[in-house]
Amino acid sequence: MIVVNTESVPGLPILEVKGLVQGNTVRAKHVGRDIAASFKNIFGGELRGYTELLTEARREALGRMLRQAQAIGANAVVNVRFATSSITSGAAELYAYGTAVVVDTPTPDS
Amino acid sequence: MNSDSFLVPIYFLTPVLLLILGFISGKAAEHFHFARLKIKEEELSSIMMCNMKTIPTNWKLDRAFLVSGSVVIANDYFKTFAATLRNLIGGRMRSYEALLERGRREAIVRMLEEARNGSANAVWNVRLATSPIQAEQTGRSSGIELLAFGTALRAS
Repeated sequence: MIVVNTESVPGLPILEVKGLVQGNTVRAKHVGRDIAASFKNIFGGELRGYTELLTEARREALGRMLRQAQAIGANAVVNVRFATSSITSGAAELYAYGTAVVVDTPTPDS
Repeated sequence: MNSDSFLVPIYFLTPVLLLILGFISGKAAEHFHFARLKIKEEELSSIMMCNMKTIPTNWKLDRAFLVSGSVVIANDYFKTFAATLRNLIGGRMRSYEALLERGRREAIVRMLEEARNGSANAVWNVRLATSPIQAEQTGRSSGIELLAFGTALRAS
């Protein structure tokens, strides 16, 4: 599966547009991470727990989007966008969406 | 004598202590972060970045893939306090400007590192997004997430 956020896959003409695919997830960290993060509000700096949380949540959302694309028979997703929104204290929603397409020749690497 | 009287100095001293702690550690963290960013940006400067959607047609490409980098970053206690005061008068919130700059540059560096791991020489259609994380009971946010993403290109 080719995933890009440009409007076309460079070098590979789009044969068919399958439509919008999307994936989302809401995730939270355990209370220990939340406490650690509240300490970081005193000292300043990166909240590693939350960075980790969002990175894996983004991967999850992207994975769900790709599964949806696979299910409708696409071999690439173009124009991918991400959106994040905080739902409640310590939880975040990650949303990934893009256009599933069929391109001419799939490259061996995904 | 009131039995709670010994608590009074604690009530006053704790915020002062937190302010001092925040001031020192926040200053140090910011200084070292900027120094680290400068080195990494130098290292990654060979990768071209652009926020255009269209790729030059004369490029011979053998791979295109999505790369992203994100960071959640928080201000220290002193700067949060200073920003609260600034909110009364209005004007430039320097402490938040520095925070967002650090976060944004870090996110871009992480994105470029991912591109470099896939031996890409350019990142096209770069997008930046910001979102506050964890709106606390107090209403102020404890962390800001900065995300950078784009299409990494490997020219043959």
